[in-house]
Amino acid sequence: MLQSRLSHSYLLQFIDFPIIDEERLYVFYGMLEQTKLERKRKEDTLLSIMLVQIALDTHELISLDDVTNENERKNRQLTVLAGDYFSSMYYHILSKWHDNELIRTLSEAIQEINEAKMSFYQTNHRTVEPIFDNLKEIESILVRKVAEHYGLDNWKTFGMQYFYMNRLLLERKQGLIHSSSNLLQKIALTLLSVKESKLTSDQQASKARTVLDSYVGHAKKEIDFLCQHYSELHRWFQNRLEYNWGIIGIPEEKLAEEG
Amino acid sequence: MKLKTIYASLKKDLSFIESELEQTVNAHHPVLRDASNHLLKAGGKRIRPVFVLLSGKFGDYNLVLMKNVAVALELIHMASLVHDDVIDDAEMRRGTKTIKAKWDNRVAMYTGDYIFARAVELVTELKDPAANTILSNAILEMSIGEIEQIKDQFNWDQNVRDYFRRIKRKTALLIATSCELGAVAAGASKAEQQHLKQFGYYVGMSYQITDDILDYTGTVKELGKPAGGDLLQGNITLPVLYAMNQGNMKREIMNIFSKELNTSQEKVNQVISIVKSSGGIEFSQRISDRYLQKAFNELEQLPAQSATTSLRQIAEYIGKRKH
Repeated sequence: MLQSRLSHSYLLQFIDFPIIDEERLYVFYGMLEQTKLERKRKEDTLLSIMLVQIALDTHELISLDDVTNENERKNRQLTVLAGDYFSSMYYHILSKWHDNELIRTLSEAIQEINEAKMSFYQTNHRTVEPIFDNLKEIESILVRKVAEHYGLDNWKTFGMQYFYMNRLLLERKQGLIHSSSNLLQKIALTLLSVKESKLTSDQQASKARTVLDSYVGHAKKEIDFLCQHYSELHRWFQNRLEYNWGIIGIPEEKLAEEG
Repeated sequence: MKLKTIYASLKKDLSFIESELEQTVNAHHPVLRDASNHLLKAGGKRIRPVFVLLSGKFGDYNLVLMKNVAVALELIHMASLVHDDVIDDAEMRRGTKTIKAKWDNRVAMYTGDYIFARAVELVTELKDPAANTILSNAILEMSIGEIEQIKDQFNWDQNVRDYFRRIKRKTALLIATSCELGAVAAGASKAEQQHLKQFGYYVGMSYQITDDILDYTGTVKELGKPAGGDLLQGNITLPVLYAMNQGNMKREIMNIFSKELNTSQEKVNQVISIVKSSGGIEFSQRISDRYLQKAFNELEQLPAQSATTSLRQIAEYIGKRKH
């Protein structure tokens, strides 16, 4: 259903098929299963929430570099428009259900996410902690707002931590595959501007990875703690968590090969 | 008649809307706030809020309710401009630097998304659920229109029908929606809502055609950017479509663009001369006037009151404007 709604023949000639975050799909599906919405409405609601995320992710692909040829130019133009198109679709689907409340919730989430992204991207942090707080916000605002909307407190606490954890793992993986990631660069820059400025760039990168790993470890402890408290959610997430913990355990060289 | 004179009857309400616009985009993050305000301060005709307010005069006019629609419509227009500047890689708009030029593409994307979400949130405060249905439909069509525009860039085989469909989605629908939603928010009758919607649609068509004419006839001072910007982007509008149907002008124009891969201002100037000599400007003006006449016909179906006169004056201004 989601795939067919995302297909726009002309768009797909120039841009890759939008990435559907299966983790989010799984979590939002689980959340909506707890509600009393009828089947069709549940499907459309899930579709709308995912469209919000896909629209945001699509706009995240816009690069800062100058375009060098016609293909790149078209790709950039259509990436902007694809994000706008997905965003207008979520609004259109929910307005057919006259679901003003959810439209409001999602539009508030989009505002907060863009505030958080701007903060992540445009603030020169003095310490690394606010960077991670920022990242957690970016990853967890949507699930928090949706959970609050449907009064699903357990899912809120767990989902926020879960998506934060996933993002940390993704950054770690990117760091291993591409030698760096947005987050690692940001951490390295922050370390450079403060007390660690005497380090070489290699030492800087290594220190940034150590910092990231310590936050991964901390996030894992949080999830373990939540699992003990919410056994019902633990069952729901068990397989996924085992997979995630597996990733943490994979030696760095092997992870790089996988990528 | 100047726009300022026409707006005189709404002066107080418009200044309220202006301050609401500022408050609405008053984001927490300083860069988000500055970027949003940057475009707001650059001005603009505020045609959409004006249409909302004037259409509201046909029902139970309550500025507190009307403001949500008026502000939302202007914000949606603004958000689309912010993203358009990334699409067009534009450095200047309304005589000032674009957000993407002053900051960068990413700031422009976040700002556009933020402003758009603020606008949608405002409309959810309206009681009539139809408001969101009407607006979301217009926005969806608008985004499809923008995609179509990219698809048709440098497509010399497109026809006038493609052009009209594109400008309907790109411009006319949002102006039609401004009028319709103004009437809906004020609880005007269904018949009045429909006439106002149609009026907005015709005015919107005329507005975009005039815009496309000005891109060939305007000066840098009038436009805030060099003439021929549309063609530079590969956007084929009514004046050039007309020219391409005259004698062998289509081949001439295509030859100019086929010599090198890059489009230069020099090439664009050559095409501007061809279009001007073809009668494409006069033809487009006649079509624009025809749409205006249709808009006036819709107004005749509405009760005669000062708002009707103002709507007519704005429509006339649109047909004769120089920037």
